[in-house]
Amino acid sequence: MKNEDRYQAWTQSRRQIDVDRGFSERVMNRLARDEARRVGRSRRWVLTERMCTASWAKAAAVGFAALIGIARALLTLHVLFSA
Amino acid sequence: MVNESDAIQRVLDGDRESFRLLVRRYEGPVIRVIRNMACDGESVEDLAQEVFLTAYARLATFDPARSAFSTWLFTIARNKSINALKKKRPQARSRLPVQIDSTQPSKDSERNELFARLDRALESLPPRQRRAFVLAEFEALSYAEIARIEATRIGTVKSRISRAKQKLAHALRQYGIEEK
Repeated sequence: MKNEDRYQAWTQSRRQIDVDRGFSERVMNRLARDEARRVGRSRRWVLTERMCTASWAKAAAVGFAALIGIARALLTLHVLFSA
Repeated sequence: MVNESDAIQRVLDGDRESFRLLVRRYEGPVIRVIRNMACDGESVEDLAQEVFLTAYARLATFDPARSAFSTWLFTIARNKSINALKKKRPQARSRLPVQIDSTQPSKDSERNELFARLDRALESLPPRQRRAFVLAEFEALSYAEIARIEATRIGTVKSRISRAKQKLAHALRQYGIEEK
């Protein structure tokens, strides 16, 4: 056997591959999973965006924060005067 | 039967299932390119999956006027292989040589040892030479296609392939087989 034949036999062996039958299915499943995740993420993003831009959402957030502040102040006063 | 450009257009129009046709058509070449460029073993499939996921995500950037779909896909495979090689810990090159029972010389063991030697020579090529060689020799791509994938000039590609072949020929000679 000449070197050229040996070399050709080697390149032939490197060209041979066994593709698992389920490969394309696994790729398609991952695509579906990734897309579902992306859709979920974009829904969360839409909610965050709405919170940041809608005036009613801003007012609600400020009101909620104010309520928490008042509650904390009342709690502190209660602790001070009950001691 | 749906052809390649129709399938691409359908995917771009939102028909994800049409991408399966492209995966089936190119799964073999992509897996082979990754195996020969970067690694053997289980990580080949993971990398090949990554190639197709990236291709799907970036399909809108594929321009058929600039290159064939296979060239575009091989470019992604090439980039993934480079990244995988960067992440991979350097492999111990000092693998044990294949043992040959000299009392019973068999053609198979001789062939296995020669193939293992050539495999090691391929692995030890500088990455650029290895990639150019793999694309030319195993994928039978033209110099122009390889130059596009490697983002370099055709002359550079030719020179890389030639150097790679010289090194492999050297490995054959070291094995003790001189061309008659």
